[in-house]
Amino acid sequence: MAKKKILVVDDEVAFTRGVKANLDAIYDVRVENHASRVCDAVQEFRPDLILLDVMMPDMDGCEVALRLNEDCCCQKIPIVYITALVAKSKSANKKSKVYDYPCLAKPVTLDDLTTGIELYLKKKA
Amino acid sequence: MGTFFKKIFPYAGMLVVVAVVGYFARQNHNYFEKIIVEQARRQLLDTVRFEASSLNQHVLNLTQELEILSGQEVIQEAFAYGPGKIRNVGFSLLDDSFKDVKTLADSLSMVDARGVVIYGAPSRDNIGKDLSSESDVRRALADRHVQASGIVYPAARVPVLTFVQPVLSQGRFVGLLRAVISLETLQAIVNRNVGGGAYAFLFDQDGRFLSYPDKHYLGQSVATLFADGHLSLDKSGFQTLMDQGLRGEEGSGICQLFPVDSPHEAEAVIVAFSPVYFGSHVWSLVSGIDYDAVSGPVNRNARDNIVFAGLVVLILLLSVAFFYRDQKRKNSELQRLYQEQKKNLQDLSSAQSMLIQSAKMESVGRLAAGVAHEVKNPLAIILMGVKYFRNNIKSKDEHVPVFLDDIEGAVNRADAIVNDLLDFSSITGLEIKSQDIHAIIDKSLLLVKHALKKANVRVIKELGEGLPAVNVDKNKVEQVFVNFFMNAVEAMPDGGELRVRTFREGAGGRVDWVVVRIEDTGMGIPESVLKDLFVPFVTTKRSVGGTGLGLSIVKNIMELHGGKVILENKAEGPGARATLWFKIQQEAGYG
Repeated sequence: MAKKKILVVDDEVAFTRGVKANLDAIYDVRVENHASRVCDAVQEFRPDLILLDVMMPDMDGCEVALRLNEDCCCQKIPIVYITALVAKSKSANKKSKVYDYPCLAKPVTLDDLTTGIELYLKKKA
Repeated sequence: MGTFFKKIFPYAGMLVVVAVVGYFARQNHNYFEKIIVEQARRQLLDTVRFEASSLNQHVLNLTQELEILSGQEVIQEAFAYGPGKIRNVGFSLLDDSFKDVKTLADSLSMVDARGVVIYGAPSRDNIGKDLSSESDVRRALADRHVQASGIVYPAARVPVLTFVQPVLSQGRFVGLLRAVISLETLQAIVNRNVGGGAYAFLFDQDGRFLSYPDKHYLGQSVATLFADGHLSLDKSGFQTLMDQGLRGEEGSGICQLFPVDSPHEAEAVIVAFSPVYFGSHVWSLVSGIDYDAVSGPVNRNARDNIVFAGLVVLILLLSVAFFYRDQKRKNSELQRLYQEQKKNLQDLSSAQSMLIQSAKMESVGRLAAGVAHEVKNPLAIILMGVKYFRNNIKSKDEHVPVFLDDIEGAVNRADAIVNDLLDFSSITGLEIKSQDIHAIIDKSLLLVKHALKKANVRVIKELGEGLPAVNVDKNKVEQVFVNFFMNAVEAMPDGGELRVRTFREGAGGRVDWVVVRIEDTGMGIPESVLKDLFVPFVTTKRSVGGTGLGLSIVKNIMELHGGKVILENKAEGPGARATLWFKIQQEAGYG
């Protein structure tokens, strides 16, 4: 079975590098550090799930999500925010959502990250 | 005491005014009474003087008329004719001669040298009578001089005065002309011009009444009047005036008469007297008027003034009382408004400080959110790196996994601090509603139920009855209670008692509170941190993940509610005590 494709969008290069290094064994991970290039990356990579940072310098995560949502090809790709804006206690609540999408709080442990990815991949399926 | 004096002051002032007005009214009254009495005295003296001169004129007219008659031939001849012939000549001739003098005396008679009446007018009854035994006639017959008698008592015993004029015909004494004036007539003459409540009397130099309103006393001495018990008097005052009169002097004065039937009620009398001359006799004409009759109008005027002043004072007193009550009502209204304004100001000030606090927290919040983002990203990178090393680097060095654990622990601690900071700074807007404090306590206890049970902590609730509702943000106050309950649980790892007590404080005072007291039987607060309990980042639990922001958050929440919080060790035994004051809003009413 082919690995699930995860697109990690964050302006922090070191963070995306860390995530990719840790998840590469399980998933097919692609990193995008520029919000403005996300649409192209999605078109090209066709991820099964997008981990999306909220606060980015050129375009914030919410706008990225909005654009992806407008694109019919990308509409069904689940998006999980991964942000420093919420506390862990809040993100632990599975119902917690930011701008209609689930979110994980930074700093996120690898366990929380993989659990979250699996959860939302299952939901997609 | 101050209030009492303040209250009676207007009335005391009015009484002083009344006393002063009364004093001056009395002085004024006395002054006017004195003037009026003095005027009356002078007027009376003028009247008496006039009356005396009128009487003198009367006597003078009589003596002159008799003297003229004695020189008339018809009179002289009548004596020569004797009684029988006079009757023949006719009385009409003599009546005509006596016409003028008849108006001046009660009766006139011609008495011959023997003392027999030969003519009488207006009554002829005496004609032929022998009057030689009458004292005045006898003396005149002997002396043959003009003479005025004192009081004589003729046969009829009616006291009279007589005036006798000898008649000489060609140098020869032929008889007498005798005029008789009864004292009653004299009384009528005396009183003719005395009016206006005054009365008059005449007494001779022996002190006998020649005229007196009660004719019983005519001819009697003044002493008789008092001897009869009609009057007693202030002897000295009256006697002085009487003596002056007896000496034929003119004068006036005031004396007191004491009616025998009411000896204590002196009747003051204004008297004036003036001499009247009757031949060689000197009489005193006295006129008196009741003092009260004179001072009456003044007294009535004074009484009217007093009544008027009394009414004015009464109206003033009522006005003062009304004004005072009105002022009192207005004052209490002002006081109410003042209290209302004061409360509004306090509310405003409290709202303002809450707003300032809120604004401060908002800016702190923004700062904290920025810091959180900037700190959490590096933390996330570190965490990802640690995980990678843990999974991919297989080192024989035993320190490597320990350091990786330390790094992960440090990242978690930093993350906890950042989260608490976010929490601390997120208390900005409160959702204030009227709440039952007991319901909030119950909900908070429910939230920590498992922790309490796990630590074997027994909860004792002593909740006051009928406490008023408080205006609070339910969730924030829950956060406060949970914080203290969890602190209590952590202070009693081997179990203990958590006591929650509520009561009211300062009811009816300026500030009214609902107080919540939370006590535990734990280890208490270390002395070293006791004074910095609410300072951020001061904690005794750093080793177990404490950030030192919990109590700062509590204090912040309480201050935003306008409340107070004190945390201390129990004086009576081991354990800590937290006391929280929630302000009661007057509008919230009683729950």
